[in-house]
Amino acid sequence: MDLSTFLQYVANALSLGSLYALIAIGYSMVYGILRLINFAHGDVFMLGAYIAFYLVSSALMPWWVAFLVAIGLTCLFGIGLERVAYRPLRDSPRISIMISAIGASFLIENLAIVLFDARPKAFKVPELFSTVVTFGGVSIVSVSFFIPLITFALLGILLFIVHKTKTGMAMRAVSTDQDAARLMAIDVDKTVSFTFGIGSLLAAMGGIMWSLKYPQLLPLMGVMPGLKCFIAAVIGGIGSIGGAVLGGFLLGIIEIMTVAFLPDLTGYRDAFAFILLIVVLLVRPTGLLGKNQGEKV
Amino acid sequence: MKQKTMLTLGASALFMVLLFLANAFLDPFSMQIFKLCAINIILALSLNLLNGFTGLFSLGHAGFMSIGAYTCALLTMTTAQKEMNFFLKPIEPFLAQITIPFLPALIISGLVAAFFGFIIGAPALRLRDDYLAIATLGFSEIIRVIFTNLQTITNGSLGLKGLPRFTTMWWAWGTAVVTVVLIVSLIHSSYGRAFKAIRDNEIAAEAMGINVFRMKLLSFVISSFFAGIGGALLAHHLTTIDPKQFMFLKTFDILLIVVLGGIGSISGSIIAAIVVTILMEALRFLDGPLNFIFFTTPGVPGIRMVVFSILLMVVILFRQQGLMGRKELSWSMLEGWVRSLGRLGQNRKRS
Amino acid sequence: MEHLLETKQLTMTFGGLTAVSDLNIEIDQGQIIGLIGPNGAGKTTAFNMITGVYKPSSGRILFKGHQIDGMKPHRITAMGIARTFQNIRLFKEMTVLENVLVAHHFRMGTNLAESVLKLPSYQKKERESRELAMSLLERLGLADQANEGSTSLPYGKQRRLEIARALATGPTLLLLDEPAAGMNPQESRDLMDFIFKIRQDFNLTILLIEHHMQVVMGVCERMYVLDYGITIAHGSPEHIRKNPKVIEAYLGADAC
Repeated sequence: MDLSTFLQYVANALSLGSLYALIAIGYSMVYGILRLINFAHGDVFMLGAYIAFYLVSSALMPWWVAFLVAIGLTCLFGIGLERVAYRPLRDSPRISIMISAIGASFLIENLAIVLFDARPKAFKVPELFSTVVTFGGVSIVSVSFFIPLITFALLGILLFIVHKTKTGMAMRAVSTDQDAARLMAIDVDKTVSFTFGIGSLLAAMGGIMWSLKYPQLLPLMGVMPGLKCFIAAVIGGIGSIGGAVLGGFLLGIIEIMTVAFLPDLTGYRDAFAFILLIVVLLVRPTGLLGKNQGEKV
Repeated sequence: MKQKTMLTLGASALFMVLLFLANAFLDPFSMQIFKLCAINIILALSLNLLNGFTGLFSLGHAGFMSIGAYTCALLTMTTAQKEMNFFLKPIEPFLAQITIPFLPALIISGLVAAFFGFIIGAPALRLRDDYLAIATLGFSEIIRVIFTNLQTITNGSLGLKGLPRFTTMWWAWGTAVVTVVLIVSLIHSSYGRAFKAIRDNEIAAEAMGINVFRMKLLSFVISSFFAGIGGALLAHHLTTIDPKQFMFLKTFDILLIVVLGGIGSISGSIIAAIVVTILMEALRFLDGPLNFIFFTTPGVPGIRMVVFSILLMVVILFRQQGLMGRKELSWSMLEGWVRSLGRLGQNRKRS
Repeated sequence: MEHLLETKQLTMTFGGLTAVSDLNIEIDQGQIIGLIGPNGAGKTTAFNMITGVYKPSSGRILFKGHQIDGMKPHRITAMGIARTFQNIRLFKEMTVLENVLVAHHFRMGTNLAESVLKLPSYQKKERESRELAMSLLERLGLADQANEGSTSLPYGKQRRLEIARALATGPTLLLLDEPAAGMNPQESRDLMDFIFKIRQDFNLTILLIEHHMQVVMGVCERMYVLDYGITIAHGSPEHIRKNPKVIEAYLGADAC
């Protein structure tokens, strides 16, 4: 393999890793705070992409405004989802809330099929992201630079919020012990909403950036990435933002590099994540950076 | 003989008569649905045994169904049929020559699915409930991806077509009846109590001498066995299978039935299986053009599934226990209904 | 002479916290021994180690001469140690009788085939199981509620059901975790008689965690006092009652 191809693979790996990381964070935060696998998270990712698509296609506003509006709307949707599907079941057995998550996911997917139509749509990628950058015989499309950059910027902001603001502290408190947090006059409902909001925001950004790199939109486009990103979050250590990022990058890099060096296994690409998951769950269930949560006897 | 036993025998006899009548009078389309009801009963009961009675939230059902489906198909297809299907790459030589009758193939399919249940359950069941869900979902997807790629064994994404239509009404309902009898008997045994104890309070169950891990594994293996059988019956009912049929959506369909009927109720699963199967077909019209007298909407495929998704959400949010909750349909229950209906009639007469 | 239960330097640490440190207990057949100490002293952790719920960080546990530390709970139960729980862990969705029957499952010696096919061999075992369960319930005064939901029982009877269930496993050693919790003085007196009675009727050895001093002093021939995981005293009720370290642990350094 020549240098040019190799660097392209590296760029792809970094981009994919960044996207996985962004989505995985949402899973991790929600699980940390509610012990819930938000099956619908991948579909929120899909919604971000579609809303951006429709806004851009309508030509009512410049693309960057369209992106911001799409992110905002998706964020609100995520908060609404929690209110409607998860909050009423907070005191119910865990199995009920999991079924609700699965049901919500299917509902969103099927609504998307009905409203958006199952045929693939082509995202209009702004020129800024589709320019091909060439240096020293290596050609890489500009979006592959933007994605990791934007991701790290977002991560910086997120870490600041989580560790340096009161709301962030509230989030960490509720993750550790919901009842104790309540006793400290923390508004648990608001904190949970905020968590979902951030998670959905990141997922929406992920969805938009995904479409910039892989411009084909399908209603079920969030299913595989959603599953893989949950796996990434588990591998890195569920409940930990750092873990989600680590897991996301690890998964993205492994996926691309395996395809690069073992092209015969390309068909099994989707299975890697699952195999990795099983291995991690058996060898180190709390994940690479995770914390143990046992039951009191 | 006790009254209840007589009632049950009477109902069984009535059921046999119903089967004969159905066989004689149902048109082919309705017969397809009738057979599918039976198959879904088997699939729902096997999932309910695991999720409902043992409290293990597994999302891997579709994977075991596909193992059963493919095993049975490959065992019963003739060499000629195999040659026709495997035109891209020829089938593995050792599989090409095997053709066995349906009954042994069916049982072997169940056993193979059970075997994989053992292999998958042994590691997966060590995990906590939500991790178990994702792990089993993961395994189901791994199976699907592997089947899509094993061109020389499963024919990959092309699938298998022209399977012999072994699943007659008698096979479908016969197997369903046997499944119901066996699972009911299992639940009403000491093993059933152990499963329910695990669901109720795992730590206490272990403290009371129950080998919780082994019991969970047993439940998982039995569930996989019947899932495999259901998958095999499905294969020879539809006569064509491909890996895409066994995506997570298939597990969702069965999960929907179990939730609607009541997680932990056998009669609930049976009733829901029949109702949902019929409803799935009946609501197909929603996917086509709809005539609202004043205006017509063009066909929008997918509305049917939206309706079912909403149905699931409504049930889980407002009536978690589904139709039957954890209770079973019993003669005393029916008697109670009849009485209250009678009272209703009497009140009407008075006023 | 070999002790029935013996722990040697038993220690349990969770992360940075040492819940139990260097516990050395000896219990002989037929004794009633107490394990007391302020809340959080590590008593239930000790129970959890003995019953296999936790694997000790270090140290050994010997039961009837066999090393049992790190064994799975169900195997320890099969060897003859049964327990009740501090927060009642009854099977809430089962009847009183079913709760006891579950605890007898591993002793039934049945297999899957005969129980699913309802062979006569299974039916005989089921009958015997039920007879044993009912007789246990009768002896513990719960026979009348046999077919009621376990949660419909009043609190005191629920605790008794937990004990009945533990007894169904056929134990040699019974671990009771705060059996007198929530009881008024009359109920506590009844409990004390009850403990003596079951020791005699079922040939038991009993290890008991309890905060209720009257019960502990009245029933135990010896007790171990834990504070922050460390054994601060060990001896007869009179000895413990007067021990300044014990008084300090319970009441604080300024009392006495």
